[in-house]
Amino acid sequence: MTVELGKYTSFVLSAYAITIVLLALLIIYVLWHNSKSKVLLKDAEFDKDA
Amino acid sequence: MSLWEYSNPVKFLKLSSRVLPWVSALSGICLILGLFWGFFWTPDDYRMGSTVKIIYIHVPAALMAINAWFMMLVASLIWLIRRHHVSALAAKAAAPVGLVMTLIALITGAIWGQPMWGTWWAWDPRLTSFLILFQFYIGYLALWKAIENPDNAADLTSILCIVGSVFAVLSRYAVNFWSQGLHQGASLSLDKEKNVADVFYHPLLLSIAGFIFLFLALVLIGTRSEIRMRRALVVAARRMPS
Repeated sequence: MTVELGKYTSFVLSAYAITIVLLALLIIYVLWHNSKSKVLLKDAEFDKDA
Repeated sequence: MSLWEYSNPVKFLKLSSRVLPWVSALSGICLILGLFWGFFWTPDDYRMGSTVKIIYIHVPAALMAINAWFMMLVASLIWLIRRHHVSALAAKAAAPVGLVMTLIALITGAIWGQPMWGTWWAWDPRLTSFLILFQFYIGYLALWKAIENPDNAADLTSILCIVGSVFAVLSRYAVNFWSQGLHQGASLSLDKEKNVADVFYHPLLLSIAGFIFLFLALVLIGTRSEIRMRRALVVAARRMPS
């Protein structure tokens, strides 16, 4: 599965690469924030019960 | 059953936990199909050559950048009028997603512009309004961070969101009512004559669907996180001696 991009190869590939990196960073951030919120709530409720 | 029932955080968490796996799966399927189809199995454009393949990331990201702000506007208005916390938290959760979409649209636009226009940047109405929208996203997020009281933060960010909507509207319609500038007209139109050719149109639609589902999935996860954070704050505040 190859594709011939000609003289614009670097432009097209860099646009895709930057998009994939930014989307990956965004997904990682959202998931990290999600797990952090779970831990915070768990700790807060544990302290309340203690 | 009323839609307002889901402004109850418990009901929202229950519904979103059921919807989230489907939205995430649809996002992955549409993105992979749309981007692979567009990148590997569409021809080059007779004028733009292979750079036309950037359309499958640039157009969906730009669409989502503007629509994320409109979603934040609706959620902010609901907060200001009806004081539903979930709507304010949904607006907050959408902001980082919209920020990244705007950044992708700006960067891929610059990369596309260089070989086509001979410049990375021009003070074209569409590009400029997008840059201002990007700054509004940063300002919106900074304002949430800067104010300690969450209700005050929600009030002020909602007002900022209403002000920023002017630039979201400008970004959306600048290509239609400003004929000067380097940016081409809208790629998608109900008028078939103005639309992109069918060979580019179908993978582009799939890619747009992928970006929409990705946005929904990330906003749902983000809103769930914000609800938990708020709950943790309330629990901690109750423990504090008065």
